[in-house]
Amino acid sequence: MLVAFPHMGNGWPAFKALCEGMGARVYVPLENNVRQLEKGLRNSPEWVCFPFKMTLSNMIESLDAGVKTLVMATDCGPCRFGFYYAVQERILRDMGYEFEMKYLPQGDLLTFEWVDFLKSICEDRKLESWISISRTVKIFLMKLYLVRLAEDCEGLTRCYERTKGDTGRALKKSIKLIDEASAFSELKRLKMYIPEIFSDIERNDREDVVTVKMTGENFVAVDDFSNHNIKKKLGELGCRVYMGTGLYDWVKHKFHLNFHRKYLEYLNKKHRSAGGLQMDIGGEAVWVLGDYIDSSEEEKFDGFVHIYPFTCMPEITAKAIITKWYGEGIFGLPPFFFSFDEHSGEAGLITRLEAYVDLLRRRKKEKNNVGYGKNK
Amino acid sequence: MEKKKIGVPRSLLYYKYFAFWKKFFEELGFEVIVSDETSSDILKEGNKYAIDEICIPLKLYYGHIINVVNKKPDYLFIPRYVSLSPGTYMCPKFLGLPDLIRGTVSNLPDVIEMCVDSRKKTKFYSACETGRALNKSFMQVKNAYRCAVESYRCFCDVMEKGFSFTESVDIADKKPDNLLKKEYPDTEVSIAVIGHSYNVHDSFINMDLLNKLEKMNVRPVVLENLPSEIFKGETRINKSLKNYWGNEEEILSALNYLFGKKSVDGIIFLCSFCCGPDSLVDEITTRNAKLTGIPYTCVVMDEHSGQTGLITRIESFVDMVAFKKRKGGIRQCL
Repeated sequence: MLVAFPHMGNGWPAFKALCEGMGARVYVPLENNVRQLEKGLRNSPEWVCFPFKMTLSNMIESLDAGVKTLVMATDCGPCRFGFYYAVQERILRDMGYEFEMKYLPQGDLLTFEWVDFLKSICEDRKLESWISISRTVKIFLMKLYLVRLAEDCEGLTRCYERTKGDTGRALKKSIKLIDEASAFSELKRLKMYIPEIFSDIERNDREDVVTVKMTGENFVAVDDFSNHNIKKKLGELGCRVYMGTGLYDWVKHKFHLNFHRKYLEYLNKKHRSAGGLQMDIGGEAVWVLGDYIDSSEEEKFDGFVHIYPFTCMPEITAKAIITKWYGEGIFGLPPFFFSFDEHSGEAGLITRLEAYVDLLRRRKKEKNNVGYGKNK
Repeated sequence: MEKKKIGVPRSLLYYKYFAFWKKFFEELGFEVIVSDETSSDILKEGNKYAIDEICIPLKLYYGHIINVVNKKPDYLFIPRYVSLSPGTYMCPKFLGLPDLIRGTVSNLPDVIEMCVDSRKKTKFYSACETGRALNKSFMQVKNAYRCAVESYRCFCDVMEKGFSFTESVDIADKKPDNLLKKEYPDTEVSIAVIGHSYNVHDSFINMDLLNKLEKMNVRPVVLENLPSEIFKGETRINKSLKNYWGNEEEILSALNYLFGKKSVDGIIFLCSFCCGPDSLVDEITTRNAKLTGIPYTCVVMDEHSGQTGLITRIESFVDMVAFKKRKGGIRQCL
């Protein structure tokens, strides 16, 4: 069986391993690009959020390449994500494609509904055993972890690279290695090797580096095409970027094992009277708010970047609350918001980012000067 | 002793559950104050607080909050409707509504939340929680809840008989015994105006669409006028996906009913710009409407103040529907 799934950042090696472990062949859609996106845009609803458009584009591309089975993850509310696969299936059928849509239920991974999905793409009876399923899932999780590790290293190294593009190449190399590794032992070795790749990059002696936390809606935060490489741009402007979200966090959260996110939820509960969200309202809103509180209490962060798709319902709620918190001086970490849609002009984004980083730099300098003054 | 006052913003779920809230709080011994009718001043006030990307009903909600707070109530009522039946959710903005308001507007009076979450607790339990927050005894709450449910049922019955929203609130207050169906003059066409109740019944957002239709000699049918049985079942998007949005549930079931029964000549789907759930539901219903052949149009609203665009579109839609009806389908007359 030849299956295809839409891209979500650099997570494709993990999903590939998941499907291949069950004996299916995998078609990885071409890297997201503008031409591909156009086809998706033409057939999407007008003001649906951006991930819908991008994943639909990936699906069209795969179907054009001759794939007959599509895989799409789904959730069970409250945001739009749960509706994606049903509406996309309808749109694609109306466009005249013939295919089968398999959906991967991930509303709560502890219900083990995903086992049925894995069995449904499995044609070889031998692979249906629990042993092979657990082995596949283990490799899947390990690969996700490694992708996250590589992305974390990337965010922290880019501002120090001497030759422009070294970090990007290192990331590409790591993703390729992750994709090629198939045994668990190899992956374990990679866990040590990937940070080495990044530490081997020739360093410059930059001193004006500022540290920002970047978080937001999962898809846009991890997908470099959708967020116009904002991480790279920040890095080149001299920011160490800590990621607050990622695919691995998400999967861990769905297994109820992400205790960091539980802590962030607790931070929200603690700030109830100021407007901390009392429940998960979909998207990453609760954790974004928690992250904001958490990072503003930490000394090392100078800024907070919150990105999300245009019209994303939960993230807008989070944005409104953060804006107020910063404006009223309840928390002092300067936030930067950017909503992404299908725009292609990057100049606006770059100008805003430059201005933001300049402000952060000046702020940091002033903070340090005040500190010296006190010591004297 | 003077009664304490509870402020209720005239927006969002007000247009659905006000009959319930009003009776509930009045039975508990409070005076209910409602903000003024929506106007451009309220929108302007709301815009000061709301962030740019939020949908217009929520911008208006801010305006109404400010308006009602200016009337100096002792408490402010902001409901948190999480889910109306197990396995469903409301729109994410409803889920975090009290937090959002608390987080963005300062100097609020005491906020009374009513957290309706059918996945975890019964509606009566939510009412008890609200009562406890207001220092009322269990028996008082029980009595008030019973009266409120009765009043809400009465309100729904009156709406079903064809009355408009404001009429229904008044009538439900008086509890008439045998109310007859409202008589409408015979009109050539009837058009269903489907959408969230806060869009359909707020004559400011939709630029008085219902009255405009009546003036064009069209009988407008709103969601609440349809028989209540049709809202009981669950709606499906396809074989494997059950609709999980509480606020889209009634829209979908109403549209499915209208598509099947064809009791109206045309359908106008009202939605506000940026509405998350509507963006996908509209896509599906547009495709369904094409299959059934019922004239269907989607009107998107935002802060515009010019009415001409809307009037032109509605006029041409009505003309088209009437033309189709007269000739028995467009195909035959071509």
